[in-house]
Amino acid sequence: MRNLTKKAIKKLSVFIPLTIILMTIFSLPLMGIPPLGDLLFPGNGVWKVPGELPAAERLNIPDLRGEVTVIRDEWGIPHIYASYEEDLFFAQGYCHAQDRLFQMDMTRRQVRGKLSEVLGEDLLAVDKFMLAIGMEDWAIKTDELFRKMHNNGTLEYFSSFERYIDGINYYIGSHEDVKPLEYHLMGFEPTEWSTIDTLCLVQEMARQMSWNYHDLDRYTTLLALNNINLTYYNDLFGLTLPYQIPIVPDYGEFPESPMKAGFELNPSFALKTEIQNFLDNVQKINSEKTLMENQKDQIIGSNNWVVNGTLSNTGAPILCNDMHLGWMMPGVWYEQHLKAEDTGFHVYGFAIPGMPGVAVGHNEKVGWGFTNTGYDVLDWYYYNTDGSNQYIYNGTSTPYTEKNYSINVKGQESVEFTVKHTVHGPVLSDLLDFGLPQSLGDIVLAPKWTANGYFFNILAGNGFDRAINRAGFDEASKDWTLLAQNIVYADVDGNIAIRPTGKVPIRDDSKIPLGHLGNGTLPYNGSNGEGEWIGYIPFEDLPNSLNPNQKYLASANQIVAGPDYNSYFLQNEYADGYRARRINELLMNAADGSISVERMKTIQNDVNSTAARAFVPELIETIYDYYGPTPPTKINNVLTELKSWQFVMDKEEAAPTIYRKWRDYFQDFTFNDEVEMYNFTTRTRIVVLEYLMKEDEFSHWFNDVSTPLNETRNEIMMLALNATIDWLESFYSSDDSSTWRWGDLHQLYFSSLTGLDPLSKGPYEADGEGYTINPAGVNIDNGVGTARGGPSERLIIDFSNLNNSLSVIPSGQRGFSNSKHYSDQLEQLFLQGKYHYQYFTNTLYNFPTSSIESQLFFFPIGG
Amino acid sequence: MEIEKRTFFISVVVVLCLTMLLTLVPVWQLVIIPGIIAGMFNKSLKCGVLSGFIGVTLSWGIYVLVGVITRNTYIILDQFGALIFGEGFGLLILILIILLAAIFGAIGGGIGNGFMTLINAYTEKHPYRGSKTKSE
Repeated sequence: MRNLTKKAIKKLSVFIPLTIILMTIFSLPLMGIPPLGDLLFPGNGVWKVPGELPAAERLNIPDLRGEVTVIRDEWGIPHIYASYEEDLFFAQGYCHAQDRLFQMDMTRRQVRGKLSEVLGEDLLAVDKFMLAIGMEDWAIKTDELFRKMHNNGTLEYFSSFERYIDGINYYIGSHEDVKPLEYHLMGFEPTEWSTIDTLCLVQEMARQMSWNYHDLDRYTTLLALNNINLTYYNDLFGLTLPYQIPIVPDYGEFPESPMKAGFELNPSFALKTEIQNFLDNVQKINSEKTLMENQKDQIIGSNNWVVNGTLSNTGAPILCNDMHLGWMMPGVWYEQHLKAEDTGFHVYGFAIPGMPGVAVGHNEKVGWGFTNTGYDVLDWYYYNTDGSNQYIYNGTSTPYTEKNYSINVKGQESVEFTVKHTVHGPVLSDLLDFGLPQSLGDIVLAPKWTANGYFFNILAGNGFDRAINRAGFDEASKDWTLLAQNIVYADVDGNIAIRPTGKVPIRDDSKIPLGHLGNGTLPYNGSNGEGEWIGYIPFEDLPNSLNPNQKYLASANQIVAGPDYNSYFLQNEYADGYRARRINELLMNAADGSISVERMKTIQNDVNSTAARAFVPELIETIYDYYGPTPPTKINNVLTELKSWQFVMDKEEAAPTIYRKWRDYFQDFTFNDEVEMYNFTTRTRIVVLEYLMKEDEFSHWFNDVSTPLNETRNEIMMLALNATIDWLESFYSSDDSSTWRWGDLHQLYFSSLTGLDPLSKGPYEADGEGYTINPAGVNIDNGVGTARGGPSERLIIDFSNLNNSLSVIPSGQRGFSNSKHYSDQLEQLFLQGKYHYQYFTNTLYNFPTSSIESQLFFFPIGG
Repeated sequence: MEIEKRTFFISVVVVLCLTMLLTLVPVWQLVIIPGIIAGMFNKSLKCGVLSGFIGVTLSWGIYVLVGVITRNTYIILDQFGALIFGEGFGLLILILIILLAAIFGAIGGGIGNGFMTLINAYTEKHPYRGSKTKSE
C-alpha cells in the first residue's frame, strides 16, 4: 500500500508541477501579445475568426418587413436586393459589420476618445485631443437635432438610418463568439453601434480633409521671412501659385506669371516663439503628426473629371473619380450595390463602412465624384488672458466656458480633464502637457472650425443617392456642410457639371491691423475682435459650372475659381497643379468622339509627369549651356538617359530616378540655405521653383546665402546634378546610369490598420510619382521611398450603359487577413491598373449567375 | 491483457470526444481534464499517458484541420508566425499547437493515472469500507 502511495506521489509530483508551469506560460501575456493559449489553442482566438462566407446562408430576422437577398460577386462585393428600403439598410449595416467591424470600431474610438480604453495610456494624448476639438460633441448634438426632426415628421430618412444601425448591431449581437483577429490580439470586445458613432465617422472625414495648422505655420514663416525682406514671403507663398488651371472654368484664366512682389506684410512679432512652440509640441500627438505629414506630402488629394457626350465615343458622359487618401488594409472604402423595390432606391458606389447609402457612385440617373477643395474652413485665434479663468475677448474680460470629460484608460483609473472654451472654440494651448507653458505666457490659442457646428452630410449623401437630375442633386448638395468637396456630376440626360461645395465662412476683416493678410490666412487676435465669422457663402454663390463649352470638367485639388470670381474668398491651400495640367492636356486635346471607357482607364493610370516635362528640358538646356557640346562622361551618360525619356515615370527606367533625385537636390540647394538661415517651416512648392527656374534665372533664391559667392540658377542646377550622380552611384553601387531603376527607389506600402507588418501588403515597386495623375509620392532623401497613400478607389461611370461602369479599390472588400477578399482587388487589379465590372443589374434575376460567389437570405421571422 | 487493450481504446475515444466538446468552451485550460480521465481509465502509467496523448492530439488535430480548411486559419497562423519569428513560420505554429496538445494530453494522462494510483492505495488500505453497510 505504502508502495502505491509513493508511486502516486511520485507521478503527481512530476506531472502536476509540469502542468502548472505550462499552463502559466500559456496563460500570461507575452511582449504585448495576449496569452498564447487564448490566442492559438482550439476553441478560441485564431480559431474564432470569421472565415469565408458560406455559399448560401439563411437568417431569420425579427422586425424585417420582407425578404432581402445579398449576392456576393467574385470580389466579395455585396449586391443587396430588398423588397423594402428599410430592410435594405438593415442588410447594408449587417454587411458593413460582417466585413469591416474592427475598422469601424477603431475609427469611432478615435473620434470619441476611447482608444486608451482598449490600448492603454499611450493613446491618452490622442484621446484628449480628439475630445477637445469637439467632434464627438457635435455628433451628439446633430444626432439630437435629427431625432427632434424625426419626431416632428421633418426627417423621414432617420428611420432608414436607424435600420442601418440595427443591422450593424444585429451582426455584433449574433457573433459574440466569432470576431476579427484584431479583437483577439488586442483583447477587447466590440460594443453596440449607435447613430452617434456613424456621425462621428463624418466628423473624422472632416478632420482628415480640413483640420490643419496652416494659419499658424504661415504666420511663423511670414515673420521669419519678413525679418529679412518684406517681399520674400510673397516670392514663395504669395497668391496665386503659378500655372494654375482653375477647376471651374467659368471665371476666367490666370495670367501665366501671376506672382506678385512688393507686398508689405508685417504683422506683430510678439507671438512667433509661442506659436512655433505650440506647433512643435502638437506634433508629439501621433494623430496630429500623421495628419501634418500627410498634408506636407499632399497625400490628401484626388482627381475627378467628366466628359460630355460630344467628347465621348458613346454619345453620353463618362465620369471618373479617384480620391487620394492614406492607404490601409482594409481600405477606406467599401463597395456595394443597393436596390429596394418599394421606393426604387437603386445605387452603386463606395461607402465609408459605418455609414448608410453610398458616398460616391451613381444611381440609375445621375453619378458623382469628389475631390477635396482646400477651402479655408478653420481659423486660429489668440487671446490675452486675464487670470486663469478669463480671457480678453473684443476688449472685454470674458470667462471661459468649460467642458468636463472622462477617459477610461486600460489598466488604470479613468482620467478626468476640463477643456476651456472661448467664444470661438476649445483652448488647445492649455490642454497639452508637453512642456508647453500652462498658457503660452499670457496668451491662449483656440481654433474655430466649421466641423464645430451642426452638419448634414449624411442627409446630402442620401439626397445624392436619390437624385434624378441636376436640380435634385443641387438641392441635396445644400446639405453638404462639412468636408467641402469639388463635386463633379453627370447624368443620363447628357449634362455635366461641377460645384465645389461646402460650408465656407465669411470673415469680418475690418479690425485686422496693417500687414495682416485677412481672409483667415493668419491667426487672428481674438482679444481685439479680429476676423469674426459673420456668415457662410450662400450655396448659390459658390463657383459652379454646368455644361461648359470646353466639353469636359476636371479637378485635381488645384485652385477652385479663376480671377473673375470676386464674390468671396475661398481658399489659401491648393495643389501645385501638375495633375490638373496633365488631365486638362489630355482632355483638351481629345477629338470629339474619341474618349472611351478604355481611354479613361489609361488616363486614370497615367504616369506621365508634367513636373518632369517642366524641369527636364530646362536641365538639358542648362547642361549644354554650362558644359558646351561635350559634357564630361558622367554628365553625358545621364544626359543620354534624359534626352531619350518621354517623361513617363516608369519603374523600369533610369531617367525618372535621375530627374526625381535631381529635382530634390535642386529644391534643397535653392531653398534650404534660406530655410536654415531664416528658420521657417512652410513647405516650399515645386511649382514655385519651376516658376523661378523659367522666369527669374537670377533670382536671389538661387544664391546660396551661406557662401560669400553669388550663385546663379545654372550653377545650382549643375551642383544638384553632380550631387545626384554621386548619390545614385553610391545608392546603386554602380556608375552605369542605365541601371538606376526607378522601381528600386519608388515603392508602395499598404499598412494594416493595426500597424502590424504581417497583416500589411507591400512593398511593391511602382510607376508614378506624387505629381502624376496616378500618384504615389515618396521621400527618397534617405534611400528607398515608400508611398503610403494615393488613390483610395477608382471609378469610371459610363452613362451610355451604367452596367459597363468600372471600379476598383486598393485592398479588398473584407477586413479579415485570412480572407481571399482581403487584398484580392489590390493584388489582382489595382496594382496592374485593372478594374472590375459593377454588375448594376436592376433585379436579382438579371444578375449573372457565373459571378455569384455566395448568397445570404434574410427572412422575416415567420416568413 | 485484452481488457487493458479495450480500456485503452475506449479511453482514447472518450478523450477525443470530450476534448472536442471542450473546444466549445473558450477556456483552453480545460484540455487537461480529458487527459486526466484517460489516465484514470488505464491501470498503467504508460497506457494512461498514451491514451491522453493520442486522444487530445487527434481531437485538436481534427479541429485544426477543419479550421484550416474551412476558415483559412492557416493564413492567420502564418501571419502570427511572421509576427513572432519572421516570414514562413505558420507551419511551425501549427506543429507547436499539435505538439502542445500531445503534451497536455500526456500530462493529463499522467496526473489521472497518479490520482488513480492514489485512489487504489486508499481503497487498498480500507478494503471493506465500501461494503461495510452491506455486511451490517
